Formats: sequence, structure tokens, C-alpha cells
Amino acid sequence: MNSSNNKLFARRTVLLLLSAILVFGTFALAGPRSAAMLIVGLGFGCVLEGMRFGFTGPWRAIVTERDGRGLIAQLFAIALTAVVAFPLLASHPDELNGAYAPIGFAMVVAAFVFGAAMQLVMGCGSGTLVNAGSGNAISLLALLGFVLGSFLGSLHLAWWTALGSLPVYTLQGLFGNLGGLLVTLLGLVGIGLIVLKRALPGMRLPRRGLIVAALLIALLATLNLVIAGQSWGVVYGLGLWGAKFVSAAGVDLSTNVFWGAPAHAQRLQQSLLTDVTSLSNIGIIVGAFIIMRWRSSPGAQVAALQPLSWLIVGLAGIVLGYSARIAFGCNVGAFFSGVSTGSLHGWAWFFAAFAGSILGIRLRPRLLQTLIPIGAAQ
Amino acid sequence: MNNFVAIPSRPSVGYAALGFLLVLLLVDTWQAQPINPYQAPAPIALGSGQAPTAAHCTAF
Repeated sequence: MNSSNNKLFARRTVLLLLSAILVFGTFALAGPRSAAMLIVGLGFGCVLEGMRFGFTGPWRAIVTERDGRGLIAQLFAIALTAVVAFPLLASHPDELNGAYAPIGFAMVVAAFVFGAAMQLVMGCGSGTLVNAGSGNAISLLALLGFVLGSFLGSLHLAWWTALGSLPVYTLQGLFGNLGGLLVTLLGLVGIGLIVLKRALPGMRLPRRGLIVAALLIALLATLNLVIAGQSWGVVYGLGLWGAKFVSAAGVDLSTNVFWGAPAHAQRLQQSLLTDVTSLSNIGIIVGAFIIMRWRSSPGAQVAALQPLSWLIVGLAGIVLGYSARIAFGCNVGAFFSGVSTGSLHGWAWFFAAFAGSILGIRLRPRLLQTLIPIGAAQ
Repeated sequence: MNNFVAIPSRPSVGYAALGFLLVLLLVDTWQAQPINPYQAPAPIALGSGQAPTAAHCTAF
């Protein structure tokens, strides 16, 4: 072994030790469920970064390059999760919650805005976490904006939702448990067929590595549901982080409709090490960092930006967080988890966000020409 | 290239992300109630008989 290999071996050993210390420390401080959720988050981070499974990039690829492989992999992962989640939710309704939210005017508009913004910063909820952890400077700034934006969105969520919302509809409620699952799978197959029709030959079916990644993401999402009692989510945790900072600065949030509600007030008072969404978010960032440092070369940093463009990225991050909060989630909480657990709002979110994504793809060269580097998406 | 800001390397930015998490957890430790290990939930929700108490992105 030469010196370079020795250094790499030593670094990887330190990374494994760091992971073990994090998990055992969380176990000792907050108990087994928190440690398990951190492991699930680390798994998400490792798979998303290590196997290049993402949301924003594939949505752009099917539009601009007619490459459907990444989107097909997403649909496959959601379908696999649904096949397990629907029966679990039906058999354990008192212990497990799906990602259910109402469809509303503001929700649909916010999903559209989110779709556009995620193409501007080239990262969605999970993508921003992964890219920040793997050392993408743009995403780290976008993450800070996301935290602020989702907190600000939580302050105004009640007002936006009051503009007009339907009751919460689930496909189980509309068609029964089996019927709801079948409708979900048919919907995913239908979208898949559209993707296959749109994609160019050779860019239709995912390579084996991406299929394995989809399998692992579905497994981790199912573990998230089984361990936490709720589906995989990102945005709530980031809004909670913002609320923690604001509370620490002395601001009283108890008079706010959202943070004054008992469930959210309790989360604000309790440690983040007991909040399952925060734990999986932390795990995603650390997992992506581990993969980046595990590699023999961390890869090139994104291209340098003009100073003004940093401001644009920060603002886009705030918009991303704010709109995700108003839309009841991002690609993970609303799309992946909403659709895979039967929420009708997940489908509304997908169509609105995809339309916004098309707009974002078209706007990016005009608004951010030469500012956003290629290859930053996750 | 004077109007461009030099960006630190990927490892440096990754460490900055971990630093952000460290600051977050320190602020949280200072602000939050101490964790009561006797009130820790069951290891997994499935089969625990307990209703989920965590909040999700879909919460309103």
C-alpha cells in the first residue's frame, strides 16, 4: 500500500468511527428510535449521493434531453413503497400516519413555484441537503435560505390555507385500500408510459445501479414509516430548525397560529434529537458528507459565481423553503410520500410542481445565464 | 475575474455544513428541555400500540 492508499484507508476509518459515535451517542442521549432514524437518514444520504439518485436532475433531463431514466427510477421507487405502505397503513391505522394534506389554491400555486425554484437552485428538499453535505457551495447557501423560508412559510401557512382548501382526500378513502393502491399504481404506470413515450431510445429504462438505488430508497422510506410512524419528510424539520434559531434569539412564537398549536409547540420545546424529521435530515447531510470524503477524490467544486448571483441563490433558497411549506411538502414529503401513501394532494403537487419545473428550466438561462454552473443538481 | 468570488473546496464546504449542524444542535441543547430517557418512545412505531406524535411536512 502506498502513502496515498494509507491516507484514504485512515480517512475511511475515521468516517466509520464518526458514524458509529453519532449513532451510539444519539442512542445514549435520546433512545433507540432516534438512533434508528439517524441510521435511516444516513442511509438516505449515502444512497442519494453515492448512487446519484435525485429528483431535480431527472425532471430536467426528461424535458431538455428527453432522458427518462431518472424519472422512471423515481416512479419505480414510489410504486415499491406504495405496495408496502398501503397494507401497513390499513392494518395499523392507530400507529402509522400517511402524508395526507388538503389540496388548496395556495398549495397548488406554491407547488408550482417550488418546481420553478428548484430548477433555479438545481436542488429540491432532499437534493439541497445532499448537495450541501457533499460540499456544493451553492446548495449550502440554498439550505440556509431553505431553513429561513420554510420557517417563514410556517408563520403564514394558516393564512394561505384559508384562501381555499378542499378536505383531505385519500385514495384509500375514495376507492378502498386495495382500490386506492391499484389507482396509485395505475397512475404511476400512466406517467411512466408518458415518460417512455417522451424519452429517446436508449434513455428510457434506468441502468441497473439506478434500479438498485430505487430499491434502497423504497426500503429506507418504508423503514422511515415503520420506525417513525410517519412517512419520509424533509420540510417540517427545516422549518423547525429555523424556529429553533428564532426562539433562541428571544422571539416568542407561542402567539403564532402554527407554532402555538400544541403539537408544534411541543416539538419546539423538545430536543431535535427526538424529532424524527430532523434526525433523518441530519443523517442525509452527514451521509452525503461521508460519501464525498469516502471517495478518493471529492470532485470539483461548482464554478465560481458573480457576487450578485450568491444573493439570487440565497433568495431562491428562501422561496424554495417558503413554497414547500405552503405546498405541504417538497419532492419528498408531498410527492414521494404523499403519492406512496395515497394522498390526493401528492398527485396535485406533482402536476403543479412539474409544470413549475418546466417554467424554471426555461427561465434559468434568462435569469441566471452563466451564473449557475452545470452539474450542481441532485 | 475580479468580480468572481472564489469558492472553497468541496471538503471545506462539507465541513461547513457539518459546522452548521453542530451550531444548530448546540443552540437546541441550550434552548430545549432536557431529554427524559424514561419517556423515550418504543424503538419502532409499528406494533408499539402508540399513536405517532411526530410532525410531518403535511402538518397544518
